[in-house]
Amino acid sequence: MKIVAVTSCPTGIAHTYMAAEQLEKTAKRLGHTIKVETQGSMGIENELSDEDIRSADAVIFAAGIPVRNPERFAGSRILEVPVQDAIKNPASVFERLAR
Amino acid sequence: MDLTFTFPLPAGLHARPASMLQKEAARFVCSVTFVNHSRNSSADARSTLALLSTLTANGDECILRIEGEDGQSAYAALKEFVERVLPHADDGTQAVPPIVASEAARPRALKGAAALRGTAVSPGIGVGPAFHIGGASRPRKKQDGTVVSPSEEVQRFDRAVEKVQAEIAELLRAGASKTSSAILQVHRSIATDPMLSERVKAGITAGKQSAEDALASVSGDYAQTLNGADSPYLRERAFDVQDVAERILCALSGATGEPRSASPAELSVCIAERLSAQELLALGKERIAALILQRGETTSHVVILARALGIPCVSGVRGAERLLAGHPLIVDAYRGIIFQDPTKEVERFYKGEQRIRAEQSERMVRDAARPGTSRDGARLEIGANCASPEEVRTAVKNGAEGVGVFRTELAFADRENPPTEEEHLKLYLEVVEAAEGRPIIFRTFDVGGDKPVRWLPLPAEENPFLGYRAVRMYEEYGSVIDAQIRAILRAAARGPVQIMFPMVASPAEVHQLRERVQRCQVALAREGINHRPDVPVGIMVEIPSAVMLMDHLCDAVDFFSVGSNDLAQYLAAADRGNEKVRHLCSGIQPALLRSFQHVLEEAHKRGKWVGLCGELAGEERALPLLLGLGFDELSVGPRGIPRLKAWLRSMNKSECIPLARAALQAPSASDVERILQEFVSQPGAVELTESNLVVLASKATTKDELLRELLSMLDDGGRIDSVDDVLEAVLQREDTFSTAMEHGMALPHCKSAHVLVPSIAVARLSTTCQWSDGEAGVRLVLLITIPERSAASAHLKIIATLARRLMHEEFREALLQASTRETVVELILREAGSHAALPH
Repeated sequence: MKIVAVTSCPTGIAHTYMAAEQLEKTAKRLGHTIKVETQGSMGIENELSDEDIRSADAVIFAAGIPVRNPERFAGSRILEVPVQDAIKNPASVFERLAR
Repeated sequence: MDLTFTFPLPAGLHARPASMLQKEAARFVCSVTFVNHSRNSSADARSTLALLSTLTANGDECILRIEGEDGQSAYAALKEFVERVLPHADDGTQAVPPIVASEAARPRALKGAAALRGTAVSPGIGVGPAFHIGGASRPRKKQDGTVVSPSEEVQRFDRAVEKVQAEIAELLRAGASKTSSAILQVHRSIATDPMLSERVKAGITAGKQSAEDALASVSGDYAQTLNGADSPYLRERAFDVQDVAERILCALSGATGEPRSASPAELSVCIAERLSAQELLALGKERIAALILQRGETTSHVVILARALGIPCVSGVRGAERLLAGHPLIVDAYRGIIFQDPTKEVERFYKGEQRIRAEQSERMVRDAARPGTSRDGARLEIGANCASPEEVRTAVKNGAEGVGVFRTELAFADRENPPTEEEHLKLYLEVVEAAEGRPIIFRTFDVGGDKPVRWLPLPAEENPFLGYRAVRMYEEYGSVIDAQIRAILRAAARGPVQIMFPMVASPAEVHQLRERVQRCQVALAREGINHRPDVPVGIMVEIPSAVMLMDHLCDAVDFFSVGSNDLAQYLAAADRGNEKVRHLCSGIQPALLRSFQHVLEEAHKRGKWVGLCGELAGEERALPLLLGLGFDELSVGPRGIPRLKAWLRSMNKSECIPLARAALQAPSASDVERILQEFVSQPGAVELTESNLVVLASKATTKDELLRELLSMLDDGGRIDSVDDVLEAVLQREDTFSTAMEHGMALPHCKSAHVLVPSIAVARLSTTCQWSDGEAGVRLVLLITIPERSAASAHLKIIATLARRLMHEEFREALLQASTRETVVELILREAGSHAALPH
């Protein structure tokens, strides 16, 4: 599957990046391709382009605070999970995506 | 004759300056009246109490009205006093500000527990059973209330005052410390105040009162007047009057010895409505775990004394009289709270707190032994500025590598006559012993000008800063200086002693001074007195002409110490004591930095050592600049040493050199300020973490305790400014969702205005600790603290990479297995730092 994701957390210091790492790591293991945009204290990084979003099979929001620029995802299939779920049990996030 | 002046002390005319003025005025027969125009009050200057009652504040327009036969000489002496002694009456005495704890700062773990509140005035934690001092009220009235005869009452009063005077003299003889003897002297001047006695006696004879009633009414009047003062400091002097009156009342009642009940039998928390300094001394500090005072005082003498003796004290505690005698108490004199019969949770909190504080002071001692070194291994000695053997002992305990300047004139400030050679020698040998083998630079007398001393009566000058002072008057007062030089040469036979001359402007002066040293040495040799002949001779660099003549001075001098305070004001031609031009004297003004650079370059070219001993040396923000410029030593107040050393350990000299270069090119102090601020927010300038922020086997048993332990380490190095506030910020972040993870790791973090530098502190636990209810235990904790407004994106990038790396088991294992604190630091900075540079 081709997946795009956005991660964020209350202070934007740590969990945003931990979640991104977990999603990337797990996607690779499961044979998916993934691009993760981080919305942390350094602002938006690895930003998803319209093309990234359009061509994705699914979108994951692992967000501790509301995702910025959500209008980009209008019409996409979005799975929203708490950011800590993506860190603690990333495999289950992908399982839910498959359902 | 009228002497007009503006009152110069920020704390107003309080007890010590009042008793100094009283002493000065009492030397003359003529009448001296102190008139305060701003407040429409006046007083006989022979009465300390009357002077206090004028409620004179800083900036008040005052007049000394002098009338009588020796008026001329009184005028001259008082003019000298008002212009040159009075403005410095409070110098160096208010080193410890009162600590007023806010209730908001109470840690969560203590919220909800019943407690009494007060003001923390002497920091510490005391645990012990409650012990009430002098529960029974003291005698205020004469038992039968009768007045036998006025003359007999007057005699009783005189005898009581005499007795109090004798008691104070006894306490003074018993070897009071500097602090307590100053307090006792103030109390003596109140007890023997002529106006007090006059008014009490008037009450007895004219008012037909008993001595007790007359005294109570007069002292009540004074206390009431003082209570109306604007300055809280002056208001609290009412307590001194009350204390002295109580003491006289006790003497009147015939009570012998100490007025209150005996000392507690075991180590206890002592509770009193109020206590006098004498009573505290009499109780004996070894039996006092802590002191609770009901009266709301923050600057009273008993409080000052408690601080000096290291007794934790909370004042202004309402309801303290209801604390049950013998019941266990915990007194938190950091936060101003008191627990009776503490709950298990509160007990556990303070058990942890006591462990953390004890380890904190152990760390201080451990680090004290480490030399001042930057992170990349550059040496920068950290020495101490001292003026007494006690200060030298404190400095050694705090990690001073030497005494950068011992200010001899301060040690002999209170005298009437210049010290003899033997008196000098006694002091210097005490200092040598206290320094335990560390080098000591004795600076010869820097007196005259703005630093007048009683034992060297010099006429007042138009421009004291530019006048006849320090080495400039050594020729005229040769014997006074020779006594000092001889004593220094003799002390040098017993330890690594060096001699330094202040206010040198030219090489010619140095040649004269060296000849003088030489003459002293020859004389000592001839007299067969043990001394060291080749004591290194240095000078203060504090006059611009000395800066410009460094090449010549290097030929004649063994070492230099830059006095940044004087050099700054001489360079800018601006008096740093003058509010309106003080801003021109900035310690980081480029002209001063360029002077430093010139001095360092010329001296180092010729292999000479250069220290810095002005206030600037102790300013943490300036440290990268001073390190980059290349000073060999910084000499600072003894208490500032641990933080300065910790700060030094976290920065790289290689990064500070280009910083100094940039600052030298800046046009103004505010540009230097900006350059410094930008510098500190770069990674590499101050590292995110260091070995002192790592604990390999914490004994903490709860999340709360562990966080406080890590925060205390951040506090040591000056990375945060309030443990309790940052703790609350971290806990608030935990409230949104826990940062603990399945694999035994937690990553608590926060952004807070109380964080000064982005930092990471790391703890491994000896036994796993449960993070919060229902969660698995943690073994590894990384605490990340970020300033509220952090623009330091490079730091954030490293932290982001670190967060990612922590998701990999091999990295976590490496952190868990690392055998030294240094390896942990390396793993975090090297690994996370280098990965941050890679694209992902």
